[in-house]
Amino acid sequence: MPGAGTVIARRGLILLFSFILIIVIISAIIEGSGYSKDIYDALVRESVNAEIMALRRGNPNVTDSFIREYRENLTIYYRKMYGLIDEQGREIPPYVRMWNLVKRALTLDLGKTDKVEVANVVPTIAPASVFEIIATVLPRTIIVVTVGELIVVIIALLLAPRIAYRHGTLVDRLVVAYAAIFTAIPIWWLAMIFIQIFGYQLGLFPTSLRGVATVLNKFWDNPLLNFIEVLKYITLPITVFVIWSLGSWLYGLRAMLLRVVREDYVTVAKAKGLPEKDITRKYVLRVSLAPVLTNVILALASSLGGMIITESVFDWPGMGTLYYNAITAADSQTIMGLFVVYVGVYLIARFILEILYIIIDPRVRVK
Amino acid sequence: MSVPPGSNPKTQKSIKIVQSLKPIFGEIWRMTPGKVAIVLLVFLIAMSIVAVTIIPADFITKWESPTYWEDNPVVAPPCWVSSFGYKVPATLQAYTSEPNQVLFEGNALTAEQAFNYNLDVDKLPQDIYIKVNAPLLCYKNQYGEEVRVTPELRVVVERPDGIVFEAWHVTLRYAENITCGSLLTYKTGKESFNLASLINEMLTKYNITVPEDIIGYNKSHTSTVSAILRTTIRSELENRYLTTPSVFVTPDRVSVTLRSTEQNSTLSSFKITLSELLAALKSDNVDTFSRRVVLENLNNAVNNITVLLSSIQLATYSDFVDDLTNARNSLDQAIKWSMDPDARVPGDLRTRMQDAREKLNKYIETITSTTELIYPVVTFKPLQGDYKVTVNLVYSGLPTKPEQVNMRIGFIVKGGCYGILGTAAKGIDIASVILYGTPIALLIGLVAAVASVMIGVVAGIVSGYYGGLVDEAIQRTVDILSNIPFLPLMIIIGSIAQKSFTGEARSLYIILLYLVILIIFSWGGLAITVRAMTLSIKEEPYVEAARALGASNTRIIFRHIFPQVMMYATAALVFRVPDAILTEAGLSVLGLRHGWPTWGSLLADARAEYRYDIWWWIIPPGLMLSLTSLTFVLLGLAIERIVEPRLRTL
Amino acid sequence: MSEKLLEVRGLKTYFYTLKGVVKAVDGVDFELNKGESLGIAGESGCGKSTLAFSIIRLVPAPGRIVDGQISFMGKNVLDLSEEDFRRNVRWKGISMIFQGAMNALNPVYTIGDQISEIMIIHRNYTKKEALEEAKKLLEMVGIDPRRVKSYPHELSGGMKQRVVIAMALALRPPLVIADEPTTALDVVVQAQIMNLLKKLKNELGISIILISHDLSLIAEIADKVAIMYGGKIAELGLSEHIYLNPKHPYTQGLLGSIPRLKGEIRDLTWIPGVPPDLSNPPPGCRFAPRCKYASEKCNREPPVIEIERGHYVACWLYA
Repeated sequence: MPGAGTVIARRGLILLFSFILIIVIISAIIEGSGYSKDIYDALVRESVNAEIMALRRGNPNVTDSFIREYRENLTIYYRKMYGLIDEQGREIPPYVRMWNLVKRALTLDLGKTDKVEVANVVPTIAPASVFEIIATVLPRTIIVVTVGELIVVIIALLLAPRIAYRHGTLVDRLVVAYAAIFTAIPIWWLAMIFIQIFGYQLGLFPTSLRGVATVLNKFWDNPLLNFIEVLKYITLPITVFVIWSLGSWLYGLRAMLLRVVREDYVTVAKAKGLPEKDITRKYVLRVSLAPVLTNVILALASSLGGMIITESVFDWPGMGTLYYNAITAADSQTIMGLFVVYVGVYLIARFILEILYIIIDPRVRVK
Repeated sequence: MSVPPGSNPKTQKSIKIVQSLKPIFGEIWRMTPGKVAIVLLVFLIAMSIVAVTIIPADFITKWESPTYWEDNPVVAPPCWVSSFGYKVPATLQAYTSEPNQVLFEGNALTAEQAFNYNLDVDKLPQDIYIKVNAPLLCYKNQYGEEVRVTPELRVVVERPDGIVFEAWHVTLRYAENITCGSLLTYKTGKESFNLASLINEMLTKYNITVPEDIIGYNKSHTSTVSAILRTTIRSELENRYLTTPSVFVTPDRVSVTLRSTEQNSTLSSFKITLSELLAALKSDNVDTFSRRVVLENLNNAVNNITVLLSSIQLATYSDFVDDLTNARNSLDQAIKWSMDPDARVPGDLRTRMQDAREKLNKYIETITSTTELIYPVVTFKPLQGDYKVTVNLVYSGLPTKPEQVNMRIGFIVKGGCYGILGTAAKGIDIASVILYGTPIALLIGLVAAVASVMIGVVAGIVSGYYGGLVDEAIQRTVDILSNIPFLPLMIIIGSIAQKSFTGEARSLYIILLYLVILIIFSWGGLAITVRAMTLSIKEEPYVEAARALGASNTRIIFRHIFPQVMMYATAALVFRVPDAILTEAGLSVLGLRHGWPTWGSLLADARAEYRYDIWWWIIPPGLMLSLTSLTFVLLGLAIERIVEPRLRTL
Repeated sequence: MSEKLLEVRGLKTYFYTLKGVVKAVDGVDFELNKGESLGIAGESGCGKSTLAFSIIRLVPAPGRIVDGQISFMGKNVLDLSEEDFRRNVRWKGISMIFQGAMNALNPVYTIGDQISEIMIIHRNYTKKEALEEAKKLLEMVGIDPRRVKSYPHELSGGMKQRVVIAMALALRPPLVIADEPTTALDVVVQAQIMNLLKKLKNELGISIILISHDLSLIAEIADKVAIMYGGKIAELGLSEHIYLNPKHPYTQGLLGSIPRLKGEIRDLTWIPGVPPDLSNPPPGCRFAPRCKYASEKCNREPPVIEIERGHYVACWLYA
């Protein structure tokens, strides 16, 4: 029987393998479809422009004809450097080039973007490093998703046992109806409705959350004041997230608890004369913890994905809005970078949750 | 064995299936979620049928073209809002192919059509225009040459306040290559709108003039002053009311003031400049005739300005213009005499005099042509009542009456509301898109769900039944697929598709691609469940018995495993239908457009314009998405309870 | 004369379902003296488990005890408040060995935790004392005391059943109800468990109510046997009465279906038909539809006849 370490290592390897595999597949698609041309062109153009800018700054009297020639040489140089042509100037075929792309993705060498809309999400000045843009923007998404998910789980854990004991009552049916309705409603549409009502009609919250970026960027200047300012922005997206995901959480948790409540060991615990609160805590909730975590793991992809679209709807300057702006500006470079980071972060989050799962559920530890 | 007449085994089989469906339907209907789901489903299917029958087939390609919606008001609420107290001007789109009157008189063919519009609220329509489809008429003259006769379009508006004015008067231009008899579509615009005529009529009608006490004694200035007034009104109507809606406005408040005190500093600076010049010229004690004339004129000019300055509060327009003109004239004289060498005016002083003169002249021009001094403020308000618009299309110079002239005259007032669900940007009729979106949504939802469930069931059964290497391969594939988040992959492949797919069927290919990726990512979970079911069914004694009796694998799969898996798969299928619909919508909102008229596209437009304040734009499509999704969630819940009776909540 | 430990009189436990009232236990009387063991036998669905759950007042919803009384050590436990019952009777007075050992243990706590929490709750032991006691108990049921730190999934089925027994004996209650303690175990383990129960019964002097569908298991341990059918007791008597001189046609049928190793060779018999639907039982004797001696009067409730001292049978044949 393998121990916990082996289990974790094996999961880690599988996740890592999945990551590399998908990067390879996507790189192949990108090269095969010719989409990479934009990425490479942007890269070469960016590098060449940077050098010419430096040259101009160094000696202002340089002639245009010299610059033209310099640009041509530089372009060839960088095309070679980025693996587009070989030493003899021949085009390198896509199936060779793709490994270059794979290497750059795996080393997080994501290049630069010259799209102003994309840089504005940070906000910073274009051209800017894609990795730096994503690194600034990513925590803003993680905050919302993590805080939202935590609130949902806590509320669900507090409410679900009460509902599960009232199996079949009106409250129970209402929860089922609530869950059905909110599974059906797309979260990002709920966000639109919330902006309409609380932003435009009631004027309680900002209608666009882009402004939070500047507050977050200078957060440590005055943490207390900025925290309150951030609250003004973050309340709406988190509320939407909580209201939307609470339905399915309550429903799932209720079903899970209903199953657990009927387990023999709960009857045994009652027969043993344990007080009700001990039974709820040790025999119902504690046992449900592992399935709850499974739920978190399974819901991770959909809640992250939902949040991406929702963020873009709110214009919350996180991954979602970055995605939106990159897509509308047709910024292949940033889209590729976002893909690599998104998949990577997702897999890391999943890995952490799976380790937690192994700690919580003694049955997995030896399996 | 005899077969009873009229029943071959095949129909019997289908009857059997129908009969076995009936109790299931009844069972679904007995549960509240099932009942709601069936009602909603019937509603959605009815909408799809209506959509397919009434909406033209080319809608799917043309719906995003602005000309398709040209006659609709932009971002206008539905018309029923007026019954809830939100008053908006009505929208009128009247077309006729048979004008009220077609006359042929004195070599001219005149078609006349009158339209009426009633403005009953205190708001202005977005636009008003005439759209005609008129043929190019030709005849052969005595030399056998073809003579082209183009029509003249005249539009006369009679307003409720009695003003009658010719809003448009244009001659339609046909390109050289247009053949005789072919139609030209012409839409009147603001460029050809006769705003001057409307302003004139309004000035006369409402007796808007600049008061005499402002103009002052010199009546000859009246025309310049009223020109300023006209210009002010014109720019107000052009900029604030976007020209054509001016048809519906009437002056509200008119005031003309003389901004006398505001001129103080300018005048003082002239006075200082001239006084300095005077002082400089006096200081060198040259005393020739010419110099004296120069000095005198300069002095006059200074005096003119000084007088004006001293009584500036009481000064009229005439005082300003005449005094300043006098000053300039004196300055002109001074400059003229300063040219005389006898005057011995130093060159730099002469230049300064000329500069001063130019500045003064410029200032006079300013106050006589702009609102610098005369400051009229004219505000407008909507004029309620009945409007009569008469359109005349005149072909003159025709020798004979043409046999038949096909023409169409349209009168469009883009009001403040449209249809039953209002419009979005570009005037897109939301109701049409909502309607057309229904069959598209159901189609993509069902296609994706059926495909994914079919793959899932087959893979699950194969994996569970045959085991071994196939099983291992399928299981590992599912494992890896479940590790990859679906959205970023969809986005990157979606954006590749945006660039790579071109041509007519682009939208179709993009949507198909979405479906394919969705299917690839969604069969895994079902396959695992079906595999587990297959494994346990395989071990059942009756299956082992069947195998012992020599039943083939195919037979065991189709007789024993498939039917048991099917019910579960049906529930899974129903649950999956919303997936594709919501994915399509979500990706559209995220900016990955495909170009079909879907609910998601409407919401994506709202996102692109950031108009979440427009409730009629965001609520209907989202509600349809949610209702469709809810339909299948509820149906799935109902079926699931039949499949797994343990789930039943009493 | 030994003292009376448990007395059940006219006990009725009904389940109120949508399909109607299921009379799972419908007027059951019996008594049990201290140190005595009672076997309750019957086909599945005859109400024997419900009877057991009724005694410890854990009838699952939508079931309810509607009538009757249960006196335990002279007190009617149905009159106690839930909290009183929990504190004073559950596990201290009556403990239970559950069927299906697989699920009776909480999967996320060690068996030591699960045994010791009983002592912590009922005896105010410290955690340490309780664990020491748990080790002793494990030793008593034949498990290496070092296994206290084991999780349930680390034990075999037989070991889990032993843990469940150890748990039941934690407070040395006067009465232990064993509900199918050996189902789902293989035959060798079954025998071990039965021997353990026998040993504990003799050593600790506790009363056991053994519920089983298997009359041969009951024979190993029971002083008295009750045969249940359709929510009622069909026959009740000392073991020798029931096994050697069965009176009720149902008991005869049950015994006839058990193969014997010794004695004369005879054909096995079986009882035709299926047990009654307890939501809509036949009128009168519930066994009548399957009984080969059934007659007209079986449509009325059969009288309970004392055939010999302590041997009761509910059947018109002996009226």
